[in-house]
Amino acid sequence: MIFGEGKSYGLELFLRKKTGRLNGWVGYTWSKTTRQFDELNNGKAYFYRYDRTHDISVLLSYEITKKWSGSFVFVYGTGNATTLPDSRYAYRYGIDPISGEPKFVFVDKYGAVNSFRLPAYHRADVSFTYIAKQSKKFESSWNFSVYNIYNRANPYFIYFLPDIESQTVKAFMVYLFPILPSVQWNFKF
Amino acid sequence: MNKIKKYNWTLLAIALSILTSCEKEIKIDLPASKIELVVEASINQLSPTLNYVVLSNTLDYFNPSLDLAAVSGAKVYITQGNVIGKDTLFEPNNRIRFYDIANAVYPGIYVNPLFTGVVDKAYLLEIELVDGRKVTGKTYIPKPVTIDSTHYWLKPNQKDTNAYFYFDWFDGPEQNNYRIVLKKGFLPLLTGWGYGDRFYTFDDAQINNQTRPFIMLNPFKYGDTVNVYLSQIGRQEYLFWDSFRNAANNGGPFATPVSVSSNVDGAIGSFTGYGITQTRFILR
Repeated sequence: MIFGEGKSYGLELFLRKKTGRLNGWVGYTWSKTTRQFDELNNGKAYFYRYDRTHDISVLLSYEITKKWSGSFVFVYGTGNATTLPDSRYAYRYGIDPISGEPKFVFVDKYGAVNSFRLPAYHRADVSFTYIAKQSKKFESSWNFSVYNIYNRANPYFIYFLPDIESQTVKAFMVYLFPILPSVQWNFKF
Repeated sequence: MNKIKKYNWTLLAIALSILTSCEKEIKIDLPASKIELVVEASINQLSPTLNYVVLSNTLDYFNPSLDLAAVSGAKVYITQGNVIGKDTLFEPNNRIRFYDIANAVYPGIYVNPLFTGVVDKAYLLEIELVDGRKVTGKTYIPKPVTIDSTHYWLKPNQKDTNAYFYFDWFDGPEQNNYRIVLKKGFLPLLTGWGYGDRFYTFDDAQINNQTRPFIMLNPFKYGDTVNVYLSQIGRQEYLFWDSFRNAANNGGPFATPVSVSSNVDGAIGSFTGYGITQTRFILR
Protein backbone atom coordinates (compact mmCIF):
# COMPACT_ATOMS: atom_id res chain seq x y z
CA MET A 1 0.00 0.00 0.00
CA ILE A 2 1.17 3.51 -0.65
CA PHE A 3 -0.06 6.75 0.87
CA GLY A 4 -0.29 10.22 -0.59
CA GLU A 5 -2.16 13.46 -0.63
CA GLY A 6 -5.30 14.66 -2.40
CA LYS A 7 -6.43 18.23 -2.98
CA SER A 8 -9.74 19.52 -4.28
CA TYR A 9 -11.08 23.06 -4.62
CA GLY A 10 -13.50 24.97 -6.80
CA LEU A 11 -16.49 27.23 -7.22
CA GLU A 12 -20.17 26.44 -7.72
CA LEU A 13 -22.84 28.71 -9.21
CA PHE A 14 -26.54 27.83 -9.29
CA LEU A 15 -29.50 29.76 -10.70
CA ARG A 16 -33.09 28.51 -10.38
CA LYS A 17 -36.54 29.61 -11.61
CA LYS A 18 -39.39 28.00 -9.68
CA THR A 19 -42.53 29.74 -10.82
CA GLY A 20 -44.37 30.06 -14.10
CA ARG A 21 -44.99 27.60 -16.87
CA LEU A 22 -41.33 27.63 -17.80
CA ASN A 23 -39.04 26.76 -14.95
CA GLY A 24 -35.74 25.11 -14.38
CA TRP A 25 -32.19 25.72 -13.34
CA VAL A 26 -28.64 26.26 -14.57
CA GLY A 27 -25.62 25.08 -12.64
CA TYR A 28 -21.93 25.65 -13.29
CA THR A 29 -18.99 24.26 -11.35
CA TRP A 30 -15.33 24.97 -11.80
CA SER A 31 -13.04 22.63 -9.86
CA LYS A 32 -9.60 21.12 -9.68
CA THR A 33 -8.77 17.82 -7.99
CA THR A 34 -5.27 16.40 -7.78
CA ARG A 35 -3.40 13.52 -6.19
CA GLN A 36 0.23 13.24 -5.19
CA PHE A 37 2.15 10.09 -4.25
CA ASP A 38 5.91 9.97 -3.89
CA GLU A 39 5.97 6.59 -5.66
CA LEU A 40 3.93 7.68 -8.67
CA ASN A 41 4.58 10.13 -11.48
CA ASN A 42 8.07 10.87 -10.14
CA GLY A 43 6.48 12.35 -7.03
CA LYS A 44 4.70 15.09 -8.99
CA ALA A 45 1.04 15.88 -8.41
CA TYR A 46 -1.32 14.82 -11.17
CA PHE A 47 -5.00 15.29 -12.01
CA TYR A 48 -7.36 12.83 -10.38
CA ARG A 49 -8.96 10.62 -13.01
CA TYR A 50 -12.42 12.08 -12.43
CA ASP A 51 -11.23 15.67 -12.18
CA ARG A 52 -13.73 17.80 -14.09
CA THR A 53 -12.60 21.37 -14.67
CA HIS A 54 -15.92 22.60 -16.05
CA ASP A 55 -19.29 21.11 -15.23
CA ILE A 56 -22.44 22.65 -16.69
CA SER A 57 -25.99 21.40 -16.28
CA VAL A 58 -29.19 22.93 -17.60
CA LEU A 59 -32.72 21.74 -16.89
CA LEU A 60 -35.79 23.37 -18.45
CA SER A 61 -39.35 22.18 -18.04
CA TYR A 62 -42.44 23.69 -19.64
CA GLU A 63 -46.11 23.09 -18.92
CA ILE A 64 -47.56 22.97 -22.43
CA THR A 65 -51.14 22.19 -21.41
CA LYS A 66 -52.82 20.68 -18.36
CA LYS A 67 -52.11 17.25 -19.82
CA TRP A 68 -48.82 17.80 -21.63
CA SER A 69 -45.44 18.94 -20.33
CA GLY A 70 -41.99 18.89 -21.80
CA SER A 71 -38.46 19.02 -20.46
CA PHE A 72 -34.99 19.56 -21.81
CA VAL A 73 -31.71 18.60 -20.12
CA PHE A 74 -28.22 19.51 -21.22
CA VAL A 75 -25.05 18.44 -19.41
CA TYR A 76 -21.44 19.22 -20.19
CA GLY A 77 -18.30 18.10 -18.42
CA THR A 78 -14.58 18.31 -19.14
CA GLY A 79 -13.28 14.91 -20.24
CA ASN A 80 -11.72 12.46 -17.78
CA ALA A 81 -7.98 12.55 -17.27
CA THR A 82 -6.22 9.40 -18.43
CA THR A 83 -2.73 8.01 -18.91
CA LEU A 84 -1.75 7.12 -22.46
CA PRO A 85 1.44 5.65 -23.88
CA ASP A 86 3.73 8.28 -25.34
CA SER A 87 6.32 6.01 -26.90
CA ARG A 88 7.33 2.37 -27.20
CA TYR A 89 10.51 0.36 -27.34
CA ALA A 90 11.77 -3.05 -28.33
CA TYR A 91 13.07 -5.42 -25.67
CA ARG A 92 14.01 -9.01 -24.86
CA TYR A 93 16.23 -9.36 -27.88
CA GLY A 94 17.10 -12.63 -29.57
CA ILE A 95 18.30 -13.87 -32.95
CA ASP A 96 16.99 -16.94 -34.74
CA PRO A 97 20.27 -18.74 -35.54
CA ILE A 98 18.73 -20.47 -38.57
CA SER A 99 16.99 -17.59 -40.32
CA GLY A 100 19.07 -14.80 -38.79
CA GLU A 101 15.86 -12.88 -38.02
CA PRO A 102 15.86 -10.77 -34.86
CA LYS A 103 13.17 -11.46 -32.29
CA PHE A 104 11.92 -8.97 -29.71
CA VAL A 105 8.72 -7.67 -28.17
CA PHE A 106 7.40 -4.14 -28.20
CA VAL A 107 6.59 -2.51 -24.88
CA ASP A 108 4.47 0.61 -24.41
CA LYS A 109 6.03 3.35 -22.35
CA TYR A 110 3.48 5.53 -20.61
CA GLY A 111 3.63 9.28 -20.22
CA ALA A 112 2.92 11.34 -17.14
CA VAL A 113 0.02 10.06 -15.05
CA ASN A 114 -3.39 11.37 -16.21
CA SER A 115 -1.76 13.89 -18.53
CA PHE A 116 -4.21 13.32 -21.39
CA ARG A 117 -7.81 14.55 -21.48
CA LEU A 118 -10.50 12.52 -23.14
CA PRO A 119 -12.92 14.54 -25.31
CA ALA A 120 -15.53 16.44 -23.31
CA TYR A 121 -18.72 14.74 -22.21
CA HIS A 122 -21.92 16.44 -23.30
CA ARG A 123 -25.41 15.39 -24.26
CA ALA A 124 -28.98 16.69 -24.44
CA ASP A 125 -32.14 14.80 -23.50
CA VAL A 126 -35.69 15.73 -24.46
CA SER A 127 -38.81 14.39 -22.83
CA PHE A 128 -42.58 14.84 -23.10
CA THR A 129 -45.09 13.64 -20.52
CA TYR A 130 -48.81 13.10 -21.06
CA ILE A 131 -51.07 12.69 -18.02
CA ALA A 132 -53.54 10.07 -19.17
CA LYS A 133 -55.65 9.59 -16.06
CA GLN A 134 -55.64 11.26 -12.72
CA SER A 135 -58.08 10.26 -9.97
CA LYS A 136 -57.98 9.49 -6.27
CA LYS A 137 -57.72 5.80 -6.92
CA PHE A 138 -55.57 5.62 -10.02
CA GLU A 139 -53.07 7.77 -11.85
CA SER A 140 -51.28 7.05 -15.08
CA SER A 141 -49.06 8.94 -17.46
CA TRP A 142 -47.07 8.34 -20.57
CA ASN A 143 -43.53 9.58 -21.07
CA PHE A 144 -41.84 9.89 -24.45
CA SER A 145 -38.17 10.71 -24.24
CA VAL A 146 -34.99 10.70 -26.24
CA TYR A 147 -31.70 10.31 -24.38
CA ASN A 148 -28.69 11.84 -26.12
CA ILE A 149 -30.79 13.42 -28.84
CA TYR A 150 -27.86 14.39 -31.09
CA ASN A 151 -26.21 10.98 -30.67
CA ARG A 152 -23.00 12.25 -29.12
CA ALA A 153 -20.32 9.57 -28.81
CA ASN A 154 -19.13 10.33 -25.29
CA PRO A 155 -15.88 8.50 -24.68
CA TYR A 156 -15.75 5.76 -22.07
CA PHE A 157 -12.13 4.85 -22.69
CA ILE A 158 -9.49 4.80 -25.41
CA TYR A 159 -7.25 1.92 -26.35
CA PHE A 160 -4.68 1.14 -29.01
CA LEU A 161 -4.15 -1.78 -31.31
CA PRO A 162 -1.28 -2.40 -33.71
CA ASP A 163 -2.28 -2.62 -37.35
CA ILE A 164 0.02 -5.11 -39.06
CA GLU A 165 -1.05 -4.10 -42.57
CA SER A 166 -0.22 -0.43 -42.26
CA GLN A 167 2.53 -1.14 -39.68
CA THR A 168 1.24 1.51 -37.37
CA VAL A 169 -0.86 1.80 -34.25
CA LYS A 170 -4.50 2.79 -34.33
CA ALA A 171 -6.53 4.42 -31.58
CA PHE A 172 -10.06 3.32 -30.79
CA MET A 173 -12.63 5.01 -28.62
CA VAL A 174 -15.28 3.03 -26.78
CA TYR A 175 -18.45 4.90 -25.90
CA LEU A 176 -21.73 3.99 -24.24
CA PHE A 177 -25.34 4.90 -24.90
CA PRO A 178 -25.93 6.44 -28.29
CA ILE A 179 -29.30 8.06 -29.02
CA LEU A 180 -31.88 6.14 -26.99
CA PRO A 181 -35.57 6.80 -27.55
CA SER A 182 -37.91 5.37 -24.98
CA VAL A 183 -41.57 5.18 -24.11
CA GLN A 184 -42.63 4.73 -20.55
CA TRP A 185 -46.00 4.13 -18.93
CA ASN A 186 -46.23 5.07 -15.27
CA PHE A 187 -49.10 4.21 -13.02
CA LYS A 188 -49.94 4.49 -9.37
CA PHE A 189 -52.84 3.10 -7.40
CA MET B 1 -49.75 -8.65 -41.64
CA ASN B 2 -46.67 -9.04 -43.91
CA LYS B 3 -46.28 -5.23 -44.08
CA ILE B 4 -46.33 -5.03 -40.28
CA LYS B 5 -43.76 -7.82 -40.04
CA LYS B 6 -41.55 -6.04 -42.59
CA TYR B 7 -41.69 -2.77 -40.66
CA ASN B 8 -40.93 -4.58 -37.41
CA TRP B 9 -37.77 -6.14 -38.87
CA THR B 10 -36.73 -2.79 -40.35
CA LEU B 11 -37.19 -1.03 -37.03
CA LEU B 12 -35.29 -3.80 -35.25
CA ALA B 13 -32.38 -3.53 -37.69
CA ILE B 14 -32.21 0.26 -37.27
CA ALA B 15 -32.36 -0.07 -33.48
CA LEU B 16 -29.62 -2.71 -33.44
CA SER B 17 -27.32 -0.71 -35.69
CA ILE B 18 -27.69 2.32 -33.44
CA LEU B 19 -27.33 0.45 -30.17
CA THR B 20 -24.32 -1.64 -31.23
CA SER B 21 -22.32 1.32 -32.62
CA CYS B 22 -20.15 1.80 -29.53
CA GLU B 23 -16.59 1.79 -30.84
CA LYS B 24 -14.87 3.82 -33.50
CA GLU B 25 -11.39 4.61 -34.71
CA ILE B 26 -10.21 8.09 -33.77
CA LYS B 27 -7.19 10.26 -34.40
CA ILE B 28 -5.19 11.30 -31.37
CA ASP B 29 -2.51 13.95 -31.22
CA LEU B 30 -0.07 12.87 -28.57
CA PRO B 31 2.59 15.41 -27.59
CA ALA B 32 6.05 14.55 -28.89
CA SER B 33 7.83 12.42 -26.31
CA LYS B 34 11.42 12.68 -25.22
CA ILE B 35 13.59 10.00 -26.80
CA GLU B 36 15.08 7.79 -24.10
CA LEU B 37 17.85 5.24 -24.19
CA VAL B 38 16.86 1.59 -23.66
CA VAL B 39 19.45 -0.82 -22.26
CA GLU B 40 19.23 -4.60 -22.22
CA ALA B 41 22.42 -6.01 -20.71
CA SER B 42 22.89 -9.65 -19.81
CA ILE B 43 25.86 -11.53 -18.36
CA ASN B 44 26.20 -15.05 -16.99
CA GLN B 45 28.72 -17.66 -16.04
CA LEU B 46 27.69 -20.41 -18.48
CA SER B 47 26.68 -19.37 -21.99
CA PRO B 48 28.78 -16.95 -24.09
CA THR B 49 25.83 -16.19 -26.37
CA LEU B 50 24.02 -14.66 -23.42
CA ASN B 51 26.69 -12.03 -22.65
CA TYR B 52 25.66 -8.91 -24.53
CA VAL B 53 24.48 -5.33 -24.26
CA VAL B 54 21.70 -4.10 -26.56
CA LEU B 55 21.24 -0.35 -26.91
CA SER B 56 18.23 1.23 -28.59
CA ASN B 57 16.02 4.29 -28.41
CA THR B 58 12.36 4.64 -27.62
CA LEU B 59 10.12 5.10 -30.66
CA ASP B 60 7.33 7.52 -31.34
CA TYR B 61 4.14 5.65 -30.51
CA PHE B 62 2.50 5.99 -33.88
CA ASN B 63 5.76 5.67 -35.81
CA PRO B 64 5.22 3.18 -38.60
CA SER B 65 8.79 1.93 -38.28
CA LEU B 66 9.10 -1.41 -36.55
CA ASP B 67 12.88 -1.35 -36.40
CA LEU B 68 14.83 -1.69 -33.21
CA ALA B 69 15.97 1.98 -33.34
CA ALA B 70 19.45 0.71 -32.50
CA VAL B 71 22.12 2.93 -30.99
CA SER B 72 25.54 2.41 -32.53
CA GLY B 73 28.97 3.80 -31.81
CA ALA B 74 28.68 3.84 -28.03
CA LYS B 75 31.51 2.89 -25.68
CA VAL B 76 30.38 0.01 -23.50
CA TYR B 77 32.42 -1.37 -20.59
CA ILE B 78 31.77 -4.07 -18.04
CA THR B 79 34.04 -4.21 -15.02
CA GLN B 80 34.26 -7.07 -12.58
CA GLY B 81 34.33 -6.07 -8.94
CA ASN B 82 35.50 -7.52 -5.67
CA VAL B 83 33.48 -7.23 -2.49
CA ILE B 84 35.61 -5.83 0.32
CA GLY B 85 33.59 -5.60 3.52
CA LYS B 86 30.41 -3.74 2.68
CA ASP B 87 31.87 -2.11 -0.41
CA THR B 88 32.49 -3.34 -3.90
CA LEU B 89 35.69 -2.29 -5.58
CA PHE B 90 35.68 -2.18 -9.38
CA GLU B 91 39.27 -2.34 -10.57
CA PRO B 92 40.19 -0.72 -13.88
CA ASN B 93 42.29 -3.80 -14.68
CA ASN B 94 39.10 -5.81 -14.79
CA ARG B 95 37.43 -3.47 -17.25
CA ILE B 96 36.42 -5.13 -20.51
CA ARG B 97 35.06 -3.31 -23.49
CA PHE B 98 32.12 -4.61 -25.52
CA TYR B 99 31.97 -3.83 -29.24
CA ASP B 100 29.18 -3.67 -31.82
CA ILE B 101 31.19 -5.94 -34.09
CA ALA B 102 28.21 -7.01 -36.18
CA ASN B 103 26.93 -3.47 -36.51
CA ALA B 104 26.26 -3.78 -40.22
CA VAL B 105 23.90 -6.70 -39.69
CA TYR B 106 22.74 -6.35 -36.09
CA PRO B 107 23.23 -2.72 -35.06
CA GLY B 108 23.07 -1.83 -31.42
CA ILE B 109 24.34 -5.18 -30.09
CA TYR B 110 27.61 -5.02 -28.15
CA VAL B 111 29.54 -8.20 -27.36
CA ASN B 112 32.94 -9.45 -26.37
CA PRO B 113 33.54 -13.18 -27.01
CA LEU B 114 36.39 -13.16 -24.47
CA PHE B 115 34.15 -12.12 -21.57
CA THR B 116 33.21 -14.79 -19.05
CA GLY B 117 31.11 -14.08 -16.02
CA VAL B 118 32.14 -15.39 -12.61
CA VAL B 119 29.71 -16.55 -9.95
CA ASP B 120 29.42 -14.39 -6.82
CA LYS B 121 31.13 -11.45 -8.48
CA ALA B 122 29.66 -7.98 -8.90
CA TYR B 123 29.77 -6.13 -12.20
CA LEU B 124 29.62 -2.51 -13.24
CA LEU B 125 28.17 -1.48 -16.59
CA GLU B 126 29.31 1.83 -18.07
CA ILE B 127 27.94 3.23 -21.31
CA GLU B 128 29.10 6.43 -22.97
CA LEU B 129 27.03 7.52 -25.95
CA VAL B 130 28.29 9.46 -28.93
CA ASP B 131 26.56 12.59 -27.65
CA GLY B 132 28.37 12.31 -24.32
CA ARG B 133 25.53 10.95 -22.21
CA LYS B 134 26.56 8.36 -19.62
CA VAL B 135 24.60 5.46 -18.23
CA THR B 136 25.62 3.06 -15.49
CA GLY B 137 24.26 -0.06 -13.89
CA LYS B 138 25.32 -2.69 -11.40
CA THR B 139 24.57 -6.36 -11.01
CA TYR B 140 26.09 -9.57 -9.77
CA ILE B 141 25.99 -13.23 -10.82
CA PRO B 142 24.32 -15.29 -8.09
CA LYS B 143 25.30 -18.84 -7.38
CA PRO B 144 23.31 -21.19 -9.64
CA VAL B 145 21.02 -23.73 -8.02
CA THR B 146 21.37 -27.50 -8.44
CA ILE B 147 18.43 -29.32 -9.97
CA ASP B 148 17.72 -32.24 -7.67
CA SER B 149 15.36 -34.28 -9.80
CA THR B 150 13.52 -34.19 -13.10
CA HIS B 151 10.35 -35.97 -14.13
CA TYR B 152 8.12 -36.11 -17.13
CA TRP B 153 4.94 -37.86 -18.06
CA LEU B 154 3.35 -38.56 -21.40
CA LYS B 155 1.64 -41.31 -23.37
CA PRO B 156 4.39 -43.50 -24.86
CA ASN B 157 4.64 -43.60 -28.65
CA GLN B 158 1.67 -41.26 -29.05
CA LYS B 159 2.62 -38.44 -31.40
CA ASP B 160 0.86 -35.07 -31.12
CA THR B 161 -0.15 -35.78 -27.55
CA ASN B 162 0.67 -33.54 -24.62
CA ALA B 163 3.83 -34.06 -22.64
CA TYR B 164 4.43 -32.58 -19.20
CA PHE B 165 7.52 -32.28 -17.05
CA TYR B 166 8.70 -30.88 -13.79
CA PHE B 167 11.92 -30.47 -11.93
CA ASP B 168 12.86 -29.31 -8.48
CA TRP B 169 15.69 -27.75 -6.56
CA PHE B 170 16.34 -26.62 -3.02
CA ASP B 171 15.51 -22.96 -2.34
CA GLY B 172 17.80 -21.69 0.41
CA PRO B 173 16.79 -19.61 3.43
CA GLU B 174 18.02 -16.33 1.96
CA GLN B 175 15.85 -14.27 -0.39
CA ASN B 176 16.09 -15.79 -3.87
CA ASN B 177 14.76 -14.71 -7.25
CA TYR B 178 14.45 -16.83 -10.34
CA ARG B 179 13.99 -16.56 -14.06
CA ILE B 180 13.25 -19.63 -16.17
CA VAL B 181 13.41 -19.66 -19.94
CA LEU B 182 12.33 -22.67 -21.99
CA LYS B 183 13.43 -23.22 -25.57
CA LYS B 184 12.08 -25.99 -27.76
CA GLY B 185 14.54 -27.48 -30.21
CA PHE B 186 17.69 -29.52 -30.54
CA LEU B 187 20.07 -26.52 -30.33
CA PRO B 188 21.08 -26.27 -26.66
CA LEU B 189 21.78 -22.58 -26.70
CA LEU B 190 20.01 -19.29 -26.77
CA THR B 191 21.16 -16.58 -29.13
CA GLY B 192 19.78 -13.87 -26.93
CA TRP B 193 17.16 -14.42 -24.24
CA GLY B 194 14.49 -13.30 -26.70
CA TYR B 195 15.04 -16.47 -28.71
CA GLY B 196 13.40 -18.42 -25.90
CA ASP B 197 9.84 -19.68 -26.16
CA ARG B 198 8.45 -19.33 -22.64
CA PHE B 199 9.49 -17.04 -19.81
CA TYR B 200 8.81 -17.25 -16.09
CA THR B 201 9.88 -14.85 -13.35
CA PHE B 202 9.23 -15.45 -9.66
CA ASP B 203 10.75 -15.13 -6.21
CA ASP B 204 10.60 -17.28 -3.10
CA ALA B 205 7.97 -15.33 -1.17
CA GLN B 206 5.62 -18.34 -1.23
CA ILE B 207 8.14 -21.18 -1.04
CA ASN B 208 11.30 -20.58 0.95
CA ASN B 209 13.99 -22.72 2.51
CA GLN B 210 12.62 -25.97 1.08
CA THR B 211 12.51 -28.03 -2.08
CA ARG B 212 10.84 -26.04 -4.76
CA PRO B 213 9.15 -27.65 -7.82
CA PHE B 214 8.64 -26.09 -11.22
CA ILE B 215 5.72 -27.83 -12.90
CA MET B 216 5.18 -27.28 -16.61
CA LEU B 217 1.39 -27.37 -16.79
CA ASN B 218 1.30 -25.72 -20.21
CA PRO B 219 2.29 -28.85 -22.10
CA PHE B 220 4.70 -29.49 -24.89
CA LYS B 221 4.16 -32.28 -27.38
CA TYR B 222 5.41 -35.84 -27.40
CA GLY B 223 8.79 -35.91 -29.12
CA ASP B 224 9.75 -32.32 -28.25
CA THR B 225 13.19 -31.48 -26.96
CA VAL B 226 13.03 -28.72 -24.39
CA ASN B 227 16.07 -26.81 -23.13
CA VAL B 228 15.61 -25.35 -19.68
CA TYR B 229 17.57 -22.34 -18.43
CA LEU B 230 16.96 -21.93 -14.71
CA SER B 231 18.67 -18.77 -13.45
CA GLN B 232 19.10 -17.08 -10.14
CA ILE B 233 19.03 -13.29 -10.45
CA GLY B 234 19.33 -10.38 -8.03
CA ARG B 235 16.42 -8.63 -6.33
CA GLN B 236 16.53 -5.41 -8.38
CA GLU B 237 16.85 -7.48 -11.53
CA TYR B 238 13.82 -9.54 -10.48
CA LEU B 239 11.78 -6.39 -9.90
CA PHE B 240 12.63 -5.27 -13.42
CA TRP B 241 11.70 -8.54 -15.10
CA ASP B 242 8.54 -8.87 -13.03
CA SER B 243 7.43 -5.39 -14.06
CA PHE B 244 8.53 -6.10 -17.64
CA ARG B 245 6.29 -9.14 -17.75
CA ASN B 246 3.31 -6.96 -16.80
CA ALA B 247 4.30 -4.30 -19.33
CA ALA B 248 4.89 -6.73 -22.20
CA ASN B 249 1.54 -8.48 -21.65
CA ASN B 250 -0.32 -5.17 -21.41
CA GLY B 251 -2.34 -3.95 -24.33
CA GLY B 252 -5.65 -3.87 -26.10
CA PRO B 253 -8.91 -2.59 -24.57
CA PHE B 254 -7.93 -3.54 -21.03
CA ALA B 255 -4.46 -2.02 -20.98
CA THR B 256 -3.39 -0.24 -17.81
CA PRO B 257 -0.42 2.08 -17.40
CA VAL B 258 2.54 -0.06 -16.38
CA SER B 259 6.04 1.21 -15.73
CA VAL B 260 9.09 -1.02 -15.63
CA SER B 261 11.36 -0.88 -12.64
CA SER B 262 14.71 -0.19 -14.29
CA ASN B 263 18.02 -0.92 -12.56
CA VAL B 264 20.18 1.24 -14.81
CA ASP B 265 20.76 4.91 -14.07
CA GLY B 266 19.96 7.24 -16.92
CA ALA B 267 18.03 4.82 -19.13
CA ILE B 268 15.16 2.39 -19.28
CA GLY B 269 16.05 -1.26 -18.93
CA SER B 270 18.15 -3.67 -16.98
CA PHE B 271 21.62 -5.00 -16.36
CA THR B 272 21.08 -8.57 -15.21
CA GLY B 273 23.55 -11.15 -13.99
CA TYR B 274 22.28 -14.70 -14.40
CA GLY B 275 23.54 -17.70 -12.42
CA ILE B 276 22.37 -20.29 -14.96
CA THR B 277 21.64 -23.95 -14.48
CA GLN B 278 20.89 -25.68 -17.76
CA THR B 279 19.11 -28.97 -18.38
CA ARG B 280 17.23 -30.63 -21.16
CA PHE B 281 14.14 -32.77 -21.52
CA ILE B 282 13.67 -35.13 -24.44
CA LEU B 283 9.97 -35.88 -24.20
CA ARG B 284 9.63 -39.35 -25.55
